[in-house]
Amino acid sequence: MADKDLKTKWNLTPGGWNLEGVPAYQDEKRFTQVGRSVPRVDGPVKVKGEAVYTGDMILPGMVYGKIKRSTYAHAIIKKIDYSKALELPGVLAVITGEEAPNKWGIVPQAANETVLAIGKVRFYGEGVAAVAAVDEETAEAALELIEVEYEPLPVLLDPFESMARAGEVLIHEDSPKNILHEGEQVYGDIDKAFAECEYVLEREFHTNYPQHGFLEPQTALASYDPQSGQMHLWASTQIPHYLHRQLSIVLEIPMNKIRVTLPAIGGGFGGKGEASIAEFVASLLSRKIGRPVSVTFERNEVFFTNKGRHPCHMKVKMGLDKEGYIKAIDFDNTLDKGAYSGWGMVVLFYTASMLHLPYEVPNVRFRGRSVYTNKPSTGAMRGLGGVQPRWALECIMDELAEVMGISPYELKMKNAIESSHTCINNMFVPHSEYKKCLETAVEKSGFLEKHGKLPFGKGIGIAGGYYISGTAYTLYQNYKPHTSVMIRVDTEAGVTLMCAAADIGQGCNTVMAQMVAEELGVHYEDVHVQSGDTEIGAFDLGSFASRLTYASGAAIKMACVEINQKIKETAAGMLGVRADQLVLKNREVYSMYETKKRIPWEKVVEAYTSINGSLVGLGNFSPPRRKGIDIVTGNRVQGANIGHSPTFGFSAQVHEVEVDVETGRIYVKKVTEAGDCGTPVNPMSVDGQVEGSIMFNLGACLYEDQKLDANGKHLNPNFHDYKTPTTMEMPEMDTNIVESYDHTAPFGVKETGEGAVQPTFPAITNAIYDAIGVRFYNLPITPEMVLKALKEKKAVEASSK
Amino acid sequence: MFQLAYYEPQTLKEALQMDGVKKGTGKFLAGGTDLLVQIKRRKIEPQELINLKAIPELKGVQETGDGGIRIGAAVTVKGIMESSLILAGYPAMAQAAKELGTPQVRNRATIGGNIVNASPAADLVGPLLVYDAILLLTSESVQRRVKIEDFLLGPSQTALGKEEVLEAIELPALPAGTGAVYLKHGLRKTHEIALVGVSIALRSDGQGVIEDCRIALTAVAPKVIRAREAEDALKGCHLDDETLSRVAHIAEANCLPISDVRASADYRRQMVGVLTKRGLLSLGGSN
Repeated sequence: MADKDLKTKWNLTPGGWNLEGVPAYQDEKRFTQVGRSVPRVDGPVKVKGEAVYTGDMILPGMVYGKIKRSTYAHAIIKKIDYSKALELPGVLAVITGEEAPNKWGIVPQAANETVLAIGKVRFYGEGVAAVAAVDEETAEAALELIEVEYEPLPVLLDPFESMARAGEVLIHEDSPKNILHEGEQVYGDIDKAFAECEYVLEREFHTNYPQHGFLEPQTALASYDPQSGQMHLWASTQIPHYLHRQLSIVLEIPMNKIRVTLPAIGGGFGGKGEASIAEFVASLLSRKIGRPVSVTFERNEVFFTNKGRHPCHMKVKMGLDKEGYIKAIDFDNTLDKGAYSGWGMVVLFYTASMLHLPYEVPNVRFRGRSVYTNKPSTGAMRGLGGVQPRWALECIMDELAEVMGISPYELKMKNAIESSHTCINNMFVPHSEYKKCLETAVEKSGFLEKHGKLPFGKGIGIAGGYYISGTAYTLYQNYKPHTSVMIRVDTEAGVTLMCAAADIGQGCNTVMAQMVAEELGVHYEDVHVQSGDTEIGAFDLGSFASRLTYASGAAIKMACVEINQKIKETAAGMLGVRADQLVLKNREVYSMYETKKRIPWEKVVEAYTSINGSLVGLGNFSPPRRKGIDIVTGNRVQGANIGHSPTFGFSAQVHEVEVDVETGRIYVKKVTEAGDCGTPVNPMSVDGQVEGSIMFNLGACLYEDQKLDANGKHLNPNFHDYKTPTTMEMPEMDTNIVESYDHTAPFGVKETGEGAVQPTFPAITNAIYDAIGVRFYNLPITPEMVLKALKEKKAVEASSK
Repeated sequence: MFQLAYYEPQTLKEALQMDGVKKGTGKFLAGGTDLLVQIKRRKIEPQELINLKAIPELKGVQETGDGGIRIGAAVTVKGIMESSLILAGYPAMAQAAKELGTPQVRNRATIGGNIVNASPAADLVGPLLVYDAILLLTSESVQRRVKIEDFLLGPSQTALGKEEVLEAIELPALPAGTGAVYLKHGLRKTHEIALVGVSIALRSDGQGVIEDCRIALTAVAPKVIRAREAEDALKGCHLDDETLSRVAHIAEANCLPISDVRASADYRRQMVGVLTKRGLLSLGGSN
C-alpha cells in the first residue's frame, strides 16, 4: 500500500486502530499519550525527598524487630536459649523457627525455606531467632543475649565440590545429590549437526556472584489486629501477590484476611522478587504481641540474604557451516544455587530457553543442574537466566567470526532472526527488529571502521541480546489471568486506575497512566493510579519477567472497551451522531466524519454519571500458553516459562573501551545501543531503563562480586568493599530506539528493562579482546586479571619468537 | 544499655578540662565520619563525646609569617580542597582532599580526624609527610610540636597523649621550585579507599638534576611511610627512563603491602611502581 494511503481514515477502525501499523509513536494522529516523553508520576516527591518508604512509616504503638543471624554457614542448631533476652526490659517477644514451620518459596514445588532456621543453618547469616523491642537499640542488645549452640558441619561453597561430597554431606536431606533440579532439553540431532559443521568451537565460561545493589534495603511494617484477625503489611516488594500468598501459608491466615500495601519502593531488580524474611518476621512478631512491628534490614543483612544472580559454570560448543550459519549449540550449565531453592528451577530452565534466540539455531542440546551450596541463596536478578548464556554465546560468536575471518557483525546479521520466527523449541517471535538494532548500533558507532584497527589498549566490541516480554507462569497451578485492572471514571475522581501492579521505580505507574489516557482519549495528567495494594487493586502477578507494560496494557485496553462504549452511546445522543463513528481523543468526543460535531469528554462523563453514577470498566490479561504437545509432531514441547512469551524485546550494543595496560584498569568510554522495545510508551523512560541496564551490567562485568571466606562468611557485605560503579564510571551513552511496532501487542509495546542488560557483558568482553588481544572467560574482569593475562601473553609471544 | 553524653565546649581549654578527657572515657568528635562508624560497630564504647567543631583555635587556614601555613585540625576536607593558600602552595594536599571519599564525607570529615584515625590508607597523610608537616599537640598544661612521621605509630596508633588534642597542622615554607603530587589508585574513580597512594615532592636545579625528593606511600604498610631508599636513589639524577624504572622498583621494594578482599599484595606492590613512575613523570616538567 502506498505510503500516503496509510494515514487516511479508511485504515482506521472505529476505535482508532490503524490496521496497517504505521509506527505508532510516529503517527501523531493515532497516539497522543503513548509515545510522549512525560515526567514520572512519582518523580517530584522522590526528588524532593517527600516520598514515603516503608522504613519512613511510624504507626502508633509501633515497635522494632531485629533478627539474630547464624555465625556458621553450615551447622546443626543444638540449642537456642533466649531466656536472658526476654528478661531485658523493653523486649516484648522472641521467636525462633518453630514459631512458623511452614515452608515458603516462590516455586511451590521446591519451597524449602522456613522463616527462621529449624534444626540447622545452611548459610552464614541465616536467621535463627527474632526479637521485638521498644526500640532498635534494645532489640540489638537482646540479640546479643540470645545464646545459640551450634555443631558445625562441613561447609560446601563450590557446586562441583558440593556434588562430589554429597555422599558425605547433605545440605538438604531430601536432595540426595545436593542438586535442586537437573534437566536436559534436546532439539534436533546435535551430533549429526556438529559432524557436518565447518567451524566448531568449545569453551568454558564462569560468571560471578553479584547482587542487585538496590538502595532501599528490605523493609516491612506489619500491623495485626487481634480483634478482627486482620493483618496489614506494608512492604518493599516487587511481588505483592506472591508475598500475600506466602504470608497466608506461613501465618496460616486466609489471604482475604491479609492486605499487602506497597509504599514508595527504592528499587528491586529481582531481589525483591521473593518474599523477604523481614516481611515474615514483622508479621509473626506483630501477631504475637498485637502491636505494629517494623523490620528494616541493615545493608549487611541485604548481602546475607542475597537472592542475587546465579554464578554459572558453562561449557559451550557452537558449530557453524561453511557459510557461517549456526547449525548447533551444545550447552552444559552448572548453576550455584546457594542454600535454598527460591527461583532456582525457573532460572535453570530460562538458561535453556535463552539459547534459542536471537539467532536461528536448528539443533540445541541443553544439560543443566542447579546445585545447593552453603552460600546465601541466589535468585532473580535483572535479565534472569539470560545474562550468563548470552555472555558465553556472544563471546564464542566473536571468536568464531575471527576464525572465519569475517566481522562479528556479519556473523550476527547472517544468523539473526526476523519477525514470525518459530524456534526449534516452539517459542514464537511475532515481531523482531533485531537486525535493525544491529545495523543502527554498528552504523552509529562506526564499528566496522574501528574494529581490529584501534591502537593497542583501545578496543571496540559488539553483542546482541533479547528478553521475553509480557509473560510469566503462575508459579502455582492456576490458569487465572495474570493481570486484572479496574478503571473508574466519574466527575469526583476523574479517571482512576486501580490495580496491584508494583511500581518499584521502573515507572509502571507512569506508563499505565499514559496507556489509560490514550485509550480513553484524555491526557496522562488526568489519570490517577492506585497500584501496589492487594485490597484496593485487582489481581496482578507482580513486577518481574518484564511483563508489566505488555500485560497491564492489554488489561487496560480491555477495561476501556466498556467505558468507551458507554461514553460513545451517551455522546451519540448529545451530538446526534452514530456511536460507532465517534472518536475519543484529546479530551474530546467527535464524529470521525463530521468533525465539527464534537463535545468535551468531561461533559459526556458528567451526563452519563448524572444518570447512572460512576463508570467502571474491568479488564484482564493472560499470556498465551505454548507449552504442551505439538499437535503436528506429537512431541512434548519444552521451554519453561519463556515459551509462553507473547513477544520479545531486542537490543544491540557496541562498547568502546580503553585498557590501562600498566594498572590493568578498564575504562568503558562509549556505549552505542539500539533497542527494539516496540512502541516506546515513554521514550524518556526507555532511555533511562537502557542507560540503567548498561550501568547495571557494566558493574557486574568489571567490579561487582560477593566474596566469602573459606567458612562461608561474607568478606564484603557493604558498599565500601562491594564496589558498584558510580556516576563517574558512566560512559558516554548513545541509546537509540529503533522503529518498531508489534501488531500483536497492545499499543505495539515490548519490554525494555531486561533486554538491554543482555549484551553488556559480551560487548565489553569482546571490546577488551579487541584492545589487548586477550579473551576472558571469568567474571568480573578485574585489573589484576588483566595484568596477569598480559604478562602471560607476553611470555607466550616471547617463547614463540 | 549503651549511653553517650555529648558536650560542645567553646574553647580549647574547656575541652581539655572535660572529665571524659581526664578519665580517658571520652572521645573527641570532629567530623565523626570514622568515629561514629566505630561506635556503631561497637569497636569503641566511649561514655562522652566532646565535639570540637565550635573551638576557634581549631578552625581556619592561615599563613604563619615564616612562609608556611597553619591548618586548624577541624578544617574539613572540603575546606582543604578549596583553600586558596593550600591550592597555591601545597597542591598535593588539595589533590588528596579531592580524592577522599565522597562529597558528603568531604563536607564533614576533618584533616585532624584523618590524621588521628591513623589509617594506613588516609589520603591526606601522604602529602603531609612529603610536605614535612609538624603537628601541634595541646594538653591543658603543655603544647608540643611533633613531626607527622614520628606521630604515626601504626594502624590506629599514634603518639597522641591521653589528655592531648591535635590542635593544628603546620606546613613549613617550601624551597622555590618544589613540585608535588598525590596519585591515588583504586578500582573506581571516586568513593574509594586507596589501594595505593603515592605522594611525591620534588625539587631539581636548572639543569633538571634532582636536588631533593620525598616520596610517601599510602596503604602499603601498617602506616603511611616514606620510601627513603627510593628518595636517595633519585638525588643527583635526571628523570630519564632508566632512573624512573630503577626508582619505581626501589619504591616497590620499600613497601610492605597486604593481601585482602580489595587487592593482592603483589598488585599493590606493582601499583606502587606504576604510580611512582607516573608521579615523577608528572613532576618532570615542573622545574
